Amino acid sequence: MANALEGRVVLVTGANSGIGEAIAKALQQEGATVFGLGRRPDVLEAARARHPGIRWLRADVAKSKDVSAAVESIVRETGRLDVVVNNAGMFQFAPLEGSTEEMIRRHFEANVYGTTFVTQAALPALRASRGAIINLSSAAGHKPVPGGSIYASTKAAVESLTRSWALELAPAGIRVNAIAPGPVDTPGFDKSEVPAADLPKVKESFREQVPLGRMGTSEEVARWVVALADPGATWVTGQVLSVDGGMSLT
Amino acid sequence: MNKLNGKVAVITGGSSGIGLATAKRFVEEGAYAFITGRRAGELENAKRDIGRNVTVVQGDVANLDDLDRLYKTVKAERGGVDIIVANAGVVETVTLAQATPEHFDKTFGINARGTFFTVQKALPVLRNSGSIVLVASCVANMGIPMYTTYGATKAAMRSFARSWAAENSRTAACA
Repeated sequence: MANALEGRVVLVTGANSGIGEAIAKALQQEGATVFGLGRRPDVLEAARARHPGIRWLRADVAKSKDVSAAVESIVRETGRLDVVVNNAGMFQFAPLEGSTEEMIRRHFEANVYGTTFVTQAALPALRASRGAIINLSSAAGHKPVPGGSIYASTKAAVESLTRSWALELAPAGIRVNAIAPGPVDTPGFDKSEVPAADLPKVKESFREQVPLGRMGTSEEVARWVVALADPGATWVTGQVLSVDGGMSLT
Repeated sequence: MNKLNGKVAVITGGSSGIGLATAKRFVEEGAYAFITGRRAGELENAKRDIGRNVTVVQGDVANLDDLDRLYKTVKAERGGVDIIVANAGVVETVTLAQATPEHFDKTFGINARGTFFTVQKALPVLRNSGSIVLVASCVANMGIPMYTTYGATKAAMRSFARSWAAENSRTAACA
């Protein structure tokens, strides 16, 4: 599969850290021209320093104007867009009583509106390239999460969007799939509003919930995004692939 | 093209269709393949087609003695196996009203029971970090007239994959 994406242009949202960064790197290694989208300027600049080969754009996926401007600049520069990876998102664990209106809005804006705005903006270019869309769901998208109901419901929405868009865009030859990772050890995970003192305990409980006995790495998720982005994966659409060490089976 | 260098794979139903395409690709990727099938003539054609790094073992996955002989051959020739692709299967399209007990037993015997014992009997020779792939069908999740028995066997295979993955290791069902 080396250089499977030579000559292709790819957009990865939330590419400046964690799973998104690993995805951007893996797609670049396959020969793609990768555009990384990030919201926070300082984190974006740090990512630019780490990966000078990736083109970095600032945008908040929850703002449709930001998103349109970013996608337009990609198409203006390269003349095409082949793959969109909707990775940007947020998670914060909170019991129902502790879920504030603002927190609920932010979850849906980042995870559901953001995924939709980016896909809408990219659609004309994807129609022209008969491209692919890869959404990032989560094991939480199809498994109940006590204490994380808002996050889980946004990911259930992402899985539903994936299936509807797959049928809606199949006549245009556009494939739409999702990856549903289990618990992955990333910087974002460490900042997920779990008190730092509780983190080791939380990570241990995840290890117990995963049949393969450990949390995943960002790279283990990224390789399946590459597989679904591969123009050779021509007969796969509407699927949600669990990359979770078997977690969603139990 | 060497992702599977040094790996040993068993592919049941490997003399035609998806099984043959899988065997060819595995060998291209550096694996050694054992393929099984019920028809000796088709197996020999497949062997010629694949060209190298392949052993054919004639047999029916519904026959437990054939499976024992398969894994005995694998152990004798290669010492063990890394990848099992349980692909052998049959489909006969009949309505519920027309289905005979023979049709039911044959379909479940090959697709469900055959898959079950293909994997169970592989366990003693399956190396660490091995993987098991079951070839199911989209029909596992659908209701299609005349595919009542076939669909039920494929749903059973989908369920096998979930339980076996939870029980020990990497099992995938392709639907």
